[in-house]
Parts: sequence; C-alpha cells; structure tokens
Amino acid sequence: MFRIELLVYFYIIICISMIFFNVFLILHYRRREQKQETRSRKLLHLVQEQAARMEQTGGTLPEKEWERLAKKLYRAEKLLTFDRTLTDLQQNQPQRAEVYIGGLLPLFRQLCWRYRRKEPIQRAYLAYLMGRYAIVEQEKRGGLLHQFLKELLFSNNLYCRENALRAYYGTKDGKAVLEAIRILDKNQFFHHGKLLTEGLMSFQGDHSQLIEMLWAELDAFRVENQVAILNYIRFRKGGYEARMLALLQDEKKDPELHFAAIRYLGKYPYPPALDTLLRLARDRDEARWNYAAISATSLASYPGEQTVEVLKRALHHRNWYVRYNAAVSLEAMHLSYVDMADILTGEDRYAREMLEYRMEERAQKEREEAVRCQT
Amino acid sequence: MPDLTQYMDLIKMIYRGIGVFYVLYLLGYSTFLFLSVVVGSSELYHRRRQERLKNDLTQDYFIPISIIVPAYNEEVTVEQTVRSLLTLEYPLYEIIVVNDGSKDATAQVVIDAFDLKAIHRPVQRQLKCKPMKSIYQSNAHKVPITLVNKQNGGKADSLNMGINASRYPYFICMDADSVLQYDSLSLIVRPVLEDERVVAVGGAIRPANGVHLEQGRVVQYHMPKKPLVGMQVLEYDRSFLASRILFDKFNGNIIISGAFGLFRKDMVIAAGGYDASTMGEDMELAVKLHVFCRTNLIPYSIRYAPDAVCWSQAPESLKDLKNQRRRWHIGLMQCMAKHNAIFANPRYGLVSFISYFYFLLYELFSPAIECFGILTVLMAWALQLLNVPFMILFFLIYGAFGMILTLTAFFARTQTLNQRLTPMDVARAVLLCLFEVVALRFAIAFVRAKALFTYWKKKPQSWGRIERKKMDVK
Repeated sequence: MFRIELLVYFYIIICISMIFFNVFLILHYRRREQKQETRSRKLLHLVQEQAARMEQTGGTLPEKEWERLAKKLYRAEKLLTFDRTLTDLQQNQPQRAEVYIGGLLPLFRQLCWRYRRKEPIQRAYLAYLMGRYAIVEQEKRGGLLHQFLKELLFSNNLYCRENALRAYYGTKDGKAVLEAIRILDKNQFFHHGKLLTEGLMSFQGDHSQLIEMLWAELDAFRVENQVAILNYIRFRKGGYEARMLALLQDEKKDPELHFAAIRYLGKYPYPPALDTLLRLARDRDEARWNYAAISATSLASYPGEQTVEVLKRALHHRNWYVRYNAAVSLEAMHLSYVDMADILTGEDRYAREMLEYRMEERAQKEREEAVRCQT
Repeated sequence: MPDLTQYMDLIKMIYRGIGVFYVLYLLGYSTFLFLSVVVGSSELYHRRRQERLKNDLTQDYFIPISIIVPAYNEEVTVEQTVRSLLTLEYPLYEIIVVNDGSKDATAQVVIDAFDLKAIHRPVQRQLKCKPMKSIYQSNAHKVPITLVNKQNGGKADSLNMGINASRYPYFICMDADSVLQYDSLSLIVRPVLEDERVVAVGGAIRPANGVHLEQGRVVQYHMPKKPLVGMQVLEYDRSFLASRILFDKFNGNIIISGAFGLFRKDMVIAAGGYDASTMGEDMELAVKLHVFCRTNLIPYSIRYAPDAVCWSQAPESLKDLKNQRRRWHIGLMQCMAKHNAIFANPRYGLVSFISYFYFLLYELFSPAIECFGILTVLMAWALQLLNVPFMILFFLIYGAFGMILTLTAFFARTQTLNQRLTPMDVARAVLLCLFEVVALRFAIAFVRAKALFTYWKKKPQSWGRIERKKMDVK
C-alpha cells in the first residue's frame, strides 16, 4: 500500500535543502561584497596595467591578452566585477579610462562569442555593458557585436531586446538604430510603444537624421511601432507639421496614426492644419468621438474666434471627454468670464459645469502659484 | 446503548472511505504548499538575479496612474498615508482620497494637512455609487491631490467613486492605513510594459509592524515583537507570497489584495466595477475580470508583482484578527457563490481546475473539512478504530512539514529582498512558526468555521475595522 508519510518525508528533505540553500545565500551575499572588493582590486590592478600599456601603444593590446581576460570573465558575476572596476577607473582616472574603454572592442568580441549560448539573463547583461560603455560604436555594422545584438532583438525575452536596443541608442549611428527597429518590428513579440519612444529619445546621435530615416520607412512598420515613432518625433522636435497634416488627411491611415498626428499638431501649431482640426472637433458622429476629443485638446494652440466658437459647441457634445477637453482648451486660452458668458449662463448644465470647473481650477492654480511665490 | 458490533463492517468501510478522502486531501494540500514554496522561492531568487544583472526597465517610461485611497474613520492614519504617497518615485500619478461619510475628522485632516480647496468638479458617473457631497483638490504638491466626500456606501462603493473621479487610464486601489514602498509604482507597472494583455497586477502586502520606513524606504527590519503579529508575518510569506507566485505562473491568480493592486480602468468599467454587495470586493473584482475577459474572448493576463511592496498594518489583537479573517472568509464565500459558473468549466481552463478548485476545497470548505476530520478522529478513538501512535506520528510529520515550508518561504523572502536579520529575528521566526502551526492555524480555522456556519446571519455591509495606530514612518 502507498505510504503517504514517505512523500511527506521527501517534501521535508527538499524543503530543508531549500532552507540550507537560503541560509547559504544569506551568508554568501554578506560575504560577496567583501569578495567582490578583493576581486575588484585584483582586476583593477590588471586593468590599470593594461590601460597604462594601451596609453603607450596608442590604444591597442595583443589579441592574446584580451582572450585571457575574456576567459576570466566567463561568468556574469565576473562581468559584474569588471563593470565595477571600470566604474572605479572612470571615477579616479577618467583619461586613462577613456583610452582603455576605447580599446575594449576585441575583448567584447571575445565575450560575445563566449556568451552567445548563455541564458538570456546573462546575454542581456552583456548587451547592457555594451551600451553602458558605448562599445558598439567601435565596431562597423555587420560585425560580431552587431550580430550578437541582432540575435537578442529576435529574442522572446523583453530584457534581451531592451538592453540590445539601449546598446544601439547609446551610439551615434542612426542607421544602426533604424536597422534595430526593423528587426524589432519583424519580431512578433510585444514590445511596449512607451519603451520604444523613450528609448529613441535617449539616442546619442543626430535626431534630425534619425527622424528622416524613420519617416522614410514609416509605412513599413507595424502600426503600434509607427505610433511610438510619431510620439518620439512629437516629444523630440517640431518641423514635421506639413507631413503630419498630410498623414492626418490620408483617410487610409490607421486612426491611431491620425491621433498621433493631431497631438503633434497640437504641440506644434501649424496654421494650415486649423481647418482640418476644426472639422474634426465639430464632428458629431458618436463613433468618431476620439477624433473630436483629441482635436479639442490640440485646438488650445490655435486661439481665435473660430476656434473658440467650435470649442464652445464641443462643450455641448454628448461625449464626456469631448466636453472635458474643450473646456480645458478654452481655459488654456485665458478667456474671461464675459467671453464665456453664453455658456456660463446657458441652459446646458453639463457644458456649464465643465467650464465652471476649469475656470475655478485656473483661479485656484493662480492662487497656489501666488502663495508659492510669496513663500 | 445500541449494539454497534453488527454495524462494524459498515462503519469500517465508511472509515476506509473517509481515510482515503483525507489522505488525498492532505496529499493535495501538501503538494500545493510544496510547489508554491519551491516555485515562489525560485522566482524570488531569479528576480534578485535579474535586478543585479540589469535586466530591468530603468528608463523614464511612465504610465499615468491614479491612486485611490478609500477612507472611513481614518483620521489617525490618513495624513501619514497621503504624505507617504507624495514620496513615491514615479513621474506621473494623482492621489484621490474618497471619504466614505466618515464619522470622525478624516476629511478635515486631509483638507488641513494638504491645504485642499473646495471646487465644483464634474465627475463622470461611469460606475454606480452613492452620491458625492463635495470635492476638494490641490495642485500645490508634487502631484494633484483630490478629496471626494460622499455618502456612506462601503469600501467597494468608495472605490467605484474613486474610479469615476480618476483621470488616468490605470488606477491603484489601496488602504488608508498602508504605505507604499518608494519604488512600488514603477514595479507594479512593469508587467503592463512587459505584456499588453495585462489587465490587473497584484502587489505584495507585507505587515508593517516591526518595520521602520523613511521616505518609503525600509531602514530597519525586525520580526515584530508581538507573537500574534510575528505569526502573521510568517503566514503572509507562506500562504500569500508563495502561492500567488505559483498562481501567477498560469494566469490563475483570482485574488488581488484590496490593499494594493493596479487595474486597467476601461476593463474594470466594462466589467462593471466593484461589487458593493460583497465583503470581498477585491477578490470579486479579480474573478469578475477573469469571467469578463474569457466570456468576451478578450486576451488577458492578471499578474502578481512580488517586488512591488505595500506595507500594511496587521491586526495586533485576537479580536481584530478574528474580525479580519471572518470578513475575508465571508467575502470568499460570496465570491465563490456568485461566480460558481467557473466550477469545473473547461472555458476557464486552469483558473477553474486549479485556482477555483483550490479556493473551494482548501480555503472555503477547509474549516468544515477540518471540523469533520476532528469529529471522525474522536469517533474512531471511541470505537477503538484509531491507530494512535500512527496518528501522532502523522501529525508530527505534518506539523514539521508546515514549519519547514514556512521557514523556507520566510528565508527566501528576506534574502531576496535584502532584509538583514539578526540572530534574534531568526530565533523568533523559528519559535513563532512552531506556534503558528500549533496555535494560530487552529484559531483561524475555528474563526473561519464560525464564519462558514453563521454566514446566513447576514450583517450589513461594513468596513473592516482594526485598531488604527500610526506607523513607524518618516
């Protein structure tokens, strides 16, 4: 007959092992700092010695030496120590560190080779280091580092993809970034648009050039990535108003792209866009309420009689968000109570309340600002 | 006295059946606990390693979040809670305190402490709730603070009002006696950035007793001195932390604690919001989201973020603990009854066959099963059918197993979260886990059994109250 206590004994043994494992880890973590300090000192000595020679030889070392160092850095824990050592060097001897880091490409090529079959978490860390020390830039496109990063971009692991992208953002090479986004786009795994937008913002090279390249291929990307790119352009710079208007007027485009274009035209006012924005804000079609709502927000940047009139009409819209955004825009135009009298004394309670609230809030903000200035 | 000898064969047969049931029952429970602790500990270790090796999202990304703090008679703690929320390291969020018709000075405390001013703000009534009486707000702080005063309607009703008043696409519900750790928003939002299907994320709740926090950071951690609280700390590690990580592995979490959870607002509104008629509104919402998404064929995921921490006060008296657990059990019962369509329904997949089944058998009915077990043991002893030495051995093994599991979860949590323990803390943990196995568990089982059997004596919906104390927070 099956003896249940045997199974429970088995579980107990596993759990006791886990307790020992955890206690061991606690002790290990306590001693690790100390160990890492010692390892770091040793490594710092080696790195300093290599850096001194590199200063003399114009930034190069024999391949064999890098191979030896790469062997020492075969585990991510060792890479952590290496990272710490480089940070120390950067803080204490910035010039020497610059020469040393500037010549690390052969080492990272070795590391790519050694790490390409390791678990994702370790490969992602190597990519992080490539970005942190701008190693990718030292290599021409198509090299071993680029191949390593491209493989990560195809990975189903978010952190592999994200760290690989960060490595590219850290360069001044817009073409490499474009290539990376092409790969990411082909990869069907979800990569949040906010990450892409924020990442592009951190690009170290010429943004105008990058935007031109991205725009030229915009249609080839998936809609969610197109939206992320348009958002990046909006956060980054103006000068694309005409193209955004053309995109907005192209009815074949996805609504999400239209919304991104409307937001852009709200941030960077473009008089030729006014008619289109007014038309969208006037739209009473319930199914297209988001066009009306987003346009109502963007119209805040187009003050004028016509705009005020359309926004006042939008205050009577059936959709709450359209009314809310119209009130925000009217308030942003700093109109007086007299200018809004028709709404504030009108019969539409919803419109009245919404506008009253915005005006009250403005007054409150002004009072808070005055108090802040006094204090 | 009736002659039982003629029925002995029948009784033995019945006992054999009962024995088989209990063996299977305990086997299932042991296996579940074992798997949760093993999976939970491994996951925590993996996350620690990920963090060290920079497998994280450190950019200035943001997803705007509304933090909703429902409050009823919280004048002692509410100011501290809102102040702690202002120290969170996150770029874009708002704080909405919903005062549910408190009888004390909750509203006035918030108004005075944060210099709020009355305003006529229209609120879109997307979810049903009791009428609003007044609304106050201030933009003079790091993030906007809003206070909504409404008629008393309970916690769920207040949360619905908070959702109506919120401006952002994601909201967090939390308790007015809790403190979020400085990085909790960035961490709870991470699953949303990882997976577009995420509709809700549960955060980790830790008892704040014994913890000293400064600017949302733990500066000192000790096992609480009060044994009752210490036992709850251990129970939280074993039952909540570990098991939720396990459920997370197959999108099977059907509880997101009301003390700290992130939700996608449009999805919650579409599903109908919080149910004000149940006591366990937090569990009900999580289950409702499962049902809603599966019924409407919406790809979804409900996740658990063990590193997003909310420090909450654990009850310090038996009376408070009893009330809390009674409320939890009745809430569980209402939720299971309301969503009984999930039971053994292939449409719900593992949510039905593992999560629902587990909560039904090992949470909801466990008090009844345990009481029945004790009764049958007593009867077997009276009928001389009991192998006493084996029974004692079995209970000892089972008790030791429970203790070891608890300690495993405890050490896994402390080491992965870098919480340094003193030898005294370790000794206290070992001692308390013994008490937890032999005392607290039975006390709680008794409370739950009472809740189960007296459920039909309905009480009006009310806020769960425990004695409020100021937390050790700066």
